[in-house]
Amino acid sequence: MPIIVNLDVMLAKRKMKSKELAEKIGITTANLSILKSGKAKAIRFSTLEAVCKVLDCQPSDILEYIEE
Amino acid sequence: MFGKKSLSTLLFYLTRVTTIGYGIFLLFIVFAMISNSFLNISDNNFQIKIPFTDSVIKGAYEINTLVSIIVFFFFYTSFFYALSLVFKTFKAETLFSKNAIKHLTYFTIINLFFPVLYGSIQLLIFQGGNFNDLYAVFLHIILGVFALFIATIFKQGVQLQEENELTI
Repeated sequence: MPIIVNLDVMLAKRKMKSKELAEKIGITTANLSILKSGKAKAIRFSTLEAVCKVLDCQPSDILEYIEE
Repeated sequence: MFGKKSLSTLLFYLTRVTTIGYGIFLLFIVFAMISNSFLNISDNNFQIKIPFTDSVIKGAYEINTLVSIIVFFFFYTSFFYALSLVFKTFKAETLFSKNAIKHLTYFTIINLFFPVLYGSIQLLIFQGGNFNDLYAVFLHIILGVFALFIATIFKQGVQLQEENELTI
């Protein structure tokens, strides 16, 4: 998929662990792993909003379009 | 309708018991014909005595009748078994699954293939068949086509479920 999820980069910048983020945004670590690995088919606005709020960033910091 | 304590569960057990009943009857008839036990042939007619009851299965002692009886019991054993598998998937926690599609496809094949085969044998080989037979063949074909539609709907359901599961 040409949409790249840069969640790992943002987590590293904020020095936050995946488990902590998952707990804060209210999803399971398994689902967060699906999101990070790019296997997810879609992301809810509510999840995106929660991620942006916790990581204090913009959606564009997490999602990126790279043409295949 | 769906889930563990539901109509599907009840129908699953009912269809399983019916399958076993038809299966036992089929085996009994084949056994009676092969071993000549419980079988009485007189004046080109046969009678098979059903044990523990006063009932008999009787008919003309011709290959047509014998094949028809065996095909009938074989078909309904397969039919109820496939139906029980469909109800088994309906009672599962996840309704839209690959198993459900597989079992609905079996049910479709049984309803489309066997009646057409039976009808063809009756019409072409034995030059027989009556209105009731054709009526049953027609009903099973309709059921098969209907099951095919449901299987296709389930295919889309599985796809939507997978997408939903991968929506975070």
